[in-house]
Amino acid sequence: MFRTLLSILTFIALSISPAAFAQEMEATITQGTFKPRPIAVSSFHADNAVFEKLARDIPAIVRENLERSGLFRPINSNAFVQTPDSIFREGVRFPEWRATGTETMVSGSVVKDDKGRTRVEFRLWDVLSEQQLIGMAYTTTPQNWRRIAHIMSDEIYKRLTGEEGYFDTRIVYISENGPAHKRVKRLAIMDQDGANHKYLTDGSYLVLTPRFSPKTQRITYMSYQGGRPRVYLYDINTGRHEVLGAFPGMTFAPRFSPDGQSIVMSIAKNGNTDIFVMNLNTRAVKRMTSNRAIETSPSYSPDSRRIVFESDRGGSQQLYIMNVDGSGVNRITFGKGRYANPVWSPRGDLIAFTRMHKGKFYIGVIRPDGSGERLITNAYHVEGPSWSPNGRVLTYFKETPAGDHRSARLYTIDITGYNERWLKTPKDGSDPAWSPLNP
Amino acid sequence: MNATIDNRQNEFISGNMGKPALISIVFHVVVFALATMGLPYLVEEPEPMEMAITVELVDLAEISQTNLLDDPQENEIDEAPAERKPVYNNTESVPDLLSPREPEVEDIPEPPKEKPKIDPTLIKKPPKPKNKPRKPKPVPPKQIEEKPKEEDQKDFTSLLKSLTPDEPDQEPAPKPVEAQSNQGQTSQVADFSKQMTRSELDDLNRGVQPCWNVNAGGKNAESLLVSLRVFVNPDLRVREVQILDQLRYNADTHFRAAAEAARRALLNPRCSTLRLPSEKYEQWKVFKYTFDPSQML
Repeated sequence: MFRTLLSILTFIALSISPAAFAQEMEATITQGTFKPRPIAVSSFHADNAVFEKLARDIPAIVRENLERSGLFRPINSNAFVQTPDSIFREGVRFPEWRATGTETMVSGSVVKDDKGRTRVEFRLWDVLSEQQLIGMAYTTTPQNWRRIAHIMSDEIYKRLTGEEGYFDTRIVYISENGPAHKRVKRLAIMDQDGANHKYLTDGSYLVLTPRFSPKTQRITYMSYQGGRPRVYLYDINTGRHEVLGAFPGMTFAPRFSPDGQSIVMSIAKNGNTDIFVMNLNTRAVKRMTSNRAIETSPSYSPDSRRIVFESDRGGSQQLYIMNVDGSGVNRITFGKGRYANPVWSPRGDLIAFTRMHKGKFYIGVIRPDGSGERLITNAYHVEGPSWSPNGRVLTYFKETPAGDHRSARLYTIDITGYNERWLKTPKDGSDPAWSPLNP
Repeated sequence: MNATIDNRQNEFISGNMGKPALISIVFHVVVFALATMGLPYLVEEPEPMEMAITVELVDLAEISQTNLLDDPQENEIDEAPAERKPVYNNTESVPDLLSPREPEVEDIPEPPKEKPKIDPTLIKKPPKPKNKPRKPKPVPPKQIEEKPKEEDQKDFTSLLKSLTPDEPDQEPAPKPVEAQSNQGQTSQVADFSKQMTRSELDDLNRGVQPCWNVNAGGKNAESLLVSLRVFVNPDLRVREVQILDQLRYNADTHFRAAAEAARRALLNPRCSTLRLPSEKYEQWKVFKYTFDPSQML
């Protein structure tokens, strides 16, 4: 019976479908554009005077985030065709918004709910197809307004690009000030847009190369505390610093494994530097390389199966990839000059690096198979790339050759090589490291 | 002699003559049947004369009136006039064109779901889809001395910036960008050649190109082919756009974003009037449009 029915249905489908679409033409377009997408972010509606500032400030942060990504172009509010109250009462008048040239728009409200809490609501609209793409509400205290704005930005970013956002994140870096011969370096942390800046160390000892755990609220860094260069672990929640292991030599270049449970780092002993990994739970240490060359700056692939590192085993400083058991070492860079500081992208498709050639520094990216090398920025001294958690943006620092008046600044850039932005810090900054999305 | 005849009679009687007699009977029956059926056609009857048919021309309006209305005189004679039943229009299938059309009722967007109360010091993010991160494809081992192939870099074109060091590391390989572009166009024309000329196709794409914003830099963006079904009005304006692969649209956030970007390109007022030959409306009033960014990235 079933077979008979199936046969009949199949016959009907075969008979009707070609007839229905027999005349349908097909075309393919292969060229488009790449430019910031117009988006209108309206101020929010507030149901009382207390919330009016929030109703302006939250969308302002959303606008700044989206604009800074380089993927969006917020429409000037002078071109808006509705007030926040009008949108709240009447809804979005799509034809009029289309006339402003925007493709999408954000509206919202800040109200007090029936329990006296602050309720922030926002909606993302596709103005062209006249559809709501997102509608979300958050209940919190007014003090958390910046966080809400970052979370909203992430939601909008994800809906319109398909990728996770990176706005609700932080950046840890080395704050620097003072003359070159007496430079004070402190561990500092801030939101990805520079807000909520805090110092984590007092500057009484040198700190270098901080790295954020991809999973936990911990930071590993190298410090000369006590006169010896060692790798430390810092817990942001508890404020506790601890040294990682009592090794006879110098430990440096630490970086977390993707699960945050191990730290891979370099240990220099008797003039030789090799790569080791320490399990943070058992504190067991395992050697990864055993070579007379200098091997350092290890970085895990996101699947934890491979490690990229720099080595001069081939005669010049180049990038290599090996399996986590130390086998299968392959060289992936062959360009002139020296390659250093490889960092594997969280999405796995690219490795960022620093390249030095003829007195210039470059930040570049390359595929793990060694193809597609692109140099996306350069300067007198540019170094220390670190990925945003979605693998879309790099942060790094640039130095100017100004002697005692040298300056170091943090920057971000899209992996396309465009949209380089200065990330302002209270003082000079170097060695930035991006956090995962805040929990 | 008599004896012979008697013998024959006896044979006949006794059954020795049965078989020839049976054949003879059958033969006669056949001859009789042929004569019965065939003889009538031996004589050809004259064809009947065509008779003229008289046609009365009458006013159609009068006939329809006659048929639709009851004849009052007949009703008067036979019985009391029957009460005419009112005729009801099927209001569901026959729109009342005189009455103003009611505004379309749209579903009110669902109110956003409120998040559970959050620690005042730390706002929880809304639950994120538990999509496992895609594992990168394993890369075959590569010899240390092997030079990276320049061909591998051909994917990156103008959309991805690449600085050049002071000296080129390797000799630049000839990059047949134009050839690639032509190949792509050739394949396009192959799909459309039966109905559209190449110039018409190019013109269609040139009109949409400024509004198609590609997510350069997105992971695997070059592989996000989006096919749409486009419904076009006779005035060349896009009336409706359908995303064909709904399964992937609902499951893959990257594809969903790419599909919506393609749809926005066709709905954008700057590009929604397509550059198509009006005289071929029947051919493109509904067509499948594929957005293929692989040659851009």
